[in-house]
Amino acid sequence: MIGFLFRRLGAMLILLLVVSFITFTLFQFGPADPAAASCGQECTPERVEQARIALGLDKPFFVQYLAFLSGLVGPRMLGAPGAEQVCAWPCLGKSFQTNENVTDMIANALPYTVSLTVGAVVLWTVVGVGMGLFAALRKGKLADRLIVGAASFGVSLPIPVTGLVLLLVFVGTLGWLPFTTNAIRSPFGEAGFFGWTTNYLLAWIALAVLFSAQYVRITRNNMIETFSEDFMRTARAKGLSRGTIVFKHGVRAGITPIVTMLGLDLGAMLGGAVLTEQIFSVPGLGFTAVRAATSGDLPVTMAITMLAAFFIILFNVIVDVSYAFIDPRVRVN
Amino acid sequence: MKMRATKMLAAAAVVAFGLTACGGGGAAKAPSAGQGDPYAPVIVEQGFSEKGGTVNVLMSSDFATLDPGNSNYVQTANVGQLYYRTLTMAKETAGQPPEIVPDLATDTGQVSEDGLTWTFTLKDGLKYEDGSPITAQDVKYGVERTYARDVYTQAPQELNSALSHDDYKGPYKGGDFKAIETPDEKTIIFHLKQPFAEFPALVSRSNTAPVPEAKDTKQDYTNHPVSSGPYKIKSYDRGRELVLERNDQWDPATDPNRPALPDEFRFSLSTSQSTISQKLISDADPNAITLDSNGALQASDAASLNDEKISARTAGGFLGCIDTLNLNTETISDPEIRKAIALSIDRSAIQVQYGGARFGQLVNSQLTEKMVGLTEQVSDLDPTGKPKLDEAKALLEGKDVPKELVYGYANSTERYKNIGTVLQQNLKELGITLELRPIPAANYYTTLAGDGMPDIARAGWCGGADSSSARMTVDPNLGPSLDGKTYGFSNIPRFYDEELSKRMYELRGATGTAEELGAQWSDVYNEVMATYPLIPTIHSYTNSVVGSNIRNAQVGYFFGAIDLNTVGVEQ
Repeated sequence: MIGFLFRRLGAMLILLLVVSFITFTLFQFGPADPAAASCGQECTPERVEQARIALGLDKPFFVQYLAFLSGLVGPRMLGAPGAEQVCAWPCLGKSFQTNENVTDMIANALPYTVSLTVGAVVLWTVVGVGMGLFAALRKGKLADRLIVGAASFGVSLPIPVTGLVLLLVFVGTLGWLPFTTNAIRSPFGEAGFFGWTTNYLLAWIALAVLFSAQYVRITRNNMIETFSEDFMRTARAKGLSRGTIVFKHGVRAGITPIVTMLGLDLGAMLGGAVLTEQIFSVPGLGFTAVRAATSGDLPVTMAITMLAAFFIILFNVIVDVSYAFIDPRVRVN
Repeated sequence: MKMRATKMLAAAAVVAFGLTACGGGGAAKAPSAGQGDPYAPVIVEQGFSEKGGTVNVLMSSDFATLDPGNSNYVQTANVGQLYYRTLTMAKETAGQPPEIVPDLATDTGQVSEDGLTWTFTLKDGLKYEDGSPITAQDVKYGVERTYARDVYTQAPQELNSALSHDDYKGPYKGGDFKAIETPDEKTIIFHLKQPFAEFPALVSRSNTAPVPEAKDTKQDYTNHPVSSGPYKIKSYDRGRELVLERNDQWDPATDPNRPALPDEFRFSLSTSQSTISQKLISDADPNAITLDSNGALQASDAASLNDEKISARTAGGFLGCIDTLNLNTETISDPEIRKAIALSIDRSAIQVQYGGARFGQLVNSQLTEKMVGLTEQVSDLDPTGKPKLDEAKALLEGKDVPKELVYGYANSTERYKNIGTVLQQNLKELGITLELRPIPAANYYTTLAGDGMPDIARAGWCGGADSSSARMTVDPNLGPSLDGKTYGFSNIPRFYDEELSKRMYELRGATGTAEELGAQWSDVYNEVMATYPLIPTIHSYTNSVVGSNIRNAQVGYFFGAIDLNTVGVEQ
C-alpha cells in the first residue's frame, strides 16, 4: 500500500509539473498581452514595455518558467529592478492586476469553495443515491418513472437558469433566505452553522439539482444490474432480510462506480464551481479564476489551474484506495 | 477531462451572460424625471446634512488599486476622494462637468506670465491620519512616484505629459525631479513644457495626493495608503471587503468640499452584478449603493425602473462619456467615402444595443453644451439617428468604394458585437461587406493603437481631466503626436491633416481665456469632423438605484456612479 501511495505521489508531482508547463505555455502564446492589459486605454508602446519589465515578462520564456518553479521550493524576489520585494515560500507570484500575493488569494478563496462543495456534495449524494436506489427498488412502477423523469429534467437545467430562478423566488420575491454574503466562510464563524447553511443553501440546491440527477440515473441503472446478479438471488434464497440484501450485499457491490464519479466530481468542485460561484456571489476559486482568466492574470490562473489539477489527481488516488475497502474483490496493487 | 471542458464552457457562458446583460433588450423608456428634459439629472433625497451611519457599497470586484500613484480608474478616484486630497479637486455636481476647486492648495494656482510655471500654496492645518503635517515635499514625492512606470503600471500620466523633464525615472532610480520645486514646506512650483490653460484640472488627478516618503511601501502601499482625507482605512480584506472609518486628524475647516456625512463606508467587493441589482431593487439593504457601471442594472431590470417606488430611489445623470465609431483614415482615406459610411449607419439601432434611450442619448458631436466656449457644431448626421441612404449612395457615385471592411470589437461585451451586426446590415446597402473581428478586451486599445487597427472600431472617451474643456476631448481623440509630425497615440482614427493638425499643435501652447481657447478648439473640431474621421453615437446616461435610507445620491459626471463624497444615510 505504501509503495502504491509513493508511486502515485510521484506521478502526481510529474502531472502537476506538466499541467503548470502547459498552462504557462498556453499563456505565452495566447492572444492577450498582460503587459498591455495592465496599463489601460492610454498606453503608449513605451509604457507597455515598462509594464512588461515590471511584470517580469521581458525575460525569456524558460527563465520566467523556472523563476515560477523556484517559488514553489523557496522564497523569490518579485518586481521591477529597484523595487523588488520578497515573496515568501510557497510563492505563486503576485497578481498582475492587483499585486496581491497569489498564495494569500488562494488561501482566502479556498474556504468559500470548500463550503460550497461540502454542502452540495452531501445534498446531491443523499438525494441522488437515495432516489436512485428507491427507483431501482420500484423498477417500472410510477415512482420509478417519476424519479427518472425528474432526473432527465434536472440534468437538462443549466446552473444559470436554476440559480437565478432560485434567487429570484426565494430571496428576491419571497424573502425566505438572505442574499449570499462573503462574510460567511465556514460553519465555525460568528454566523454559526445555521447562518452558514442559509447562506449557501440555494447554491447547494442549484448544484444538487444538476448533479443529483446524474447520480439518480447511474445509481438506478447500476443497482438494477446488481440486483439481477446471481449472488443477490443466492442472498434472497438464503432468506436474508430485505434490508440486508439491499444494503449489505447490493449497495456495497454496486456502489463502486458511484464512488468513482463522486471522487472525480469532488475533485473538480474543489477546483472551483465557476458558474455557481459567479451567480451566487461566492468569492471562491472559480470566481477568482474567471476574473484572472479574463484579465490575463497569469500567476492567478496558473495557481488555480494547478490547484484544480491537484484536487482531481488527489481524489483519483483516494478513489483508488477506497475501492479496496468498499469491495473486497479489489486489492490495491 | 470532460468536466474540465464543461467548466471552461460554463466560464465562457457566464462571462458572456454577465457582460451582455446590460446590452441586450429592446428600447427602454427615456428617463422620466424632469418633465421638460428627459436627461435632467436626478438626485435622490437632496439636502440631507445629518452625520452618522454606515453606507454599504456593493461592488462586483475589488478596486484595481487604492494607491493614488498607481490609479487610473474612475472607481478608484471616487473612493479616493474619501481618503486622499489633492492640490485641487474635481468637485462633482450631477449632470455637469466637475468644477475645479482648491483642495490642499489655497487656490487653483498662480500662473507665470509666460504660462510655463504654476505655483500652489498649501493650506494651514493639514495633517495625515497619524497627526503628522502634510508638506509640499510630500506632494512632490507623490508626483515623483507616478514616473516610476516600471513599478506602477497604471500610474496616471495626464499631469506628467504637461511637465518638463519627462525623461525622469521616478524617485527610486531618478533622484530629485527638476520639474517641481518646493522652496519651503508650503509652496510647490511646477515647470511646464508649454503653456497649459487647464493645468488646475491636471493637478486635481491623484498624482498630487501627498505620500510621506517614509511610509512608501511601494507596491504594497495599496494595502494602506496614508490618509489625508476625511476617512482612513479601518480594514481591507483584498477581494472581499474594505471598511473606511472617520479620520479624526482631518480638519473640516480646511476642507469645505467634503461633507463627510456617514461614519463608515463598508465596501463588499465580490457581489455578482445580478445580486447587486436584485438587492437594490428589492431594497433588501436600505443602506446600500453600488459603484458598478450602469448601476449594475441588467436588461431585465429596465421595467423595474418605471415603478414609482423604485424610480424615487433612482439617481440619474449624464456621464462625461461619449461613444464613437472610429473610421481608420489610413485605410478609408477618402473623406467622402467616410461620410457616406457615416450617413448610412442607423444610429438609432445602435442606441437600442445600449439598452435604449434611458441609457444614453444620441449625439452628433463629442463636444457637449457644457463645454466652455463651445461654438456651433455642424453635422449632416440625422439627429434621430436614422440613416440617409440616398445621400450616402450619391456620395459614392464614381468612387472606388472598398468592397470589404473590417469592424473590430472588444470580445468581452456582446453589445459591441451586436453593434457590428447593425453596421453589417447598413453597409450592405452600400455594397460593402463587413467582417466582424473580435479583439481580446484586455488589449483592445493597444491593438487599435498598433498594427491591428481595423477599418472601423468603437471607442469611448470620458472627457479627460477636465470634461468642461473642449481641448481635453479634441486633442487626445483627433490631435497630432507630441512633436506634431503624425497622429497622436490615442488618436484612434489616425486622423492627420497637414493644416488642421498643425492648428491643433499650435493651439496646445496658446494662451487666452478658457472661453477663447474653448472656441478655437471647438472650431477646429468642427472642421475636422467635416471629414468624418469618427461618428459620435451615444452620450451615456447612468441610472443607479439606491437603498431607501440613502440620501444625497447623485451620479457623478466623471465617476459614472454614485458620488461617494456627497452621499449620506438616514439612521
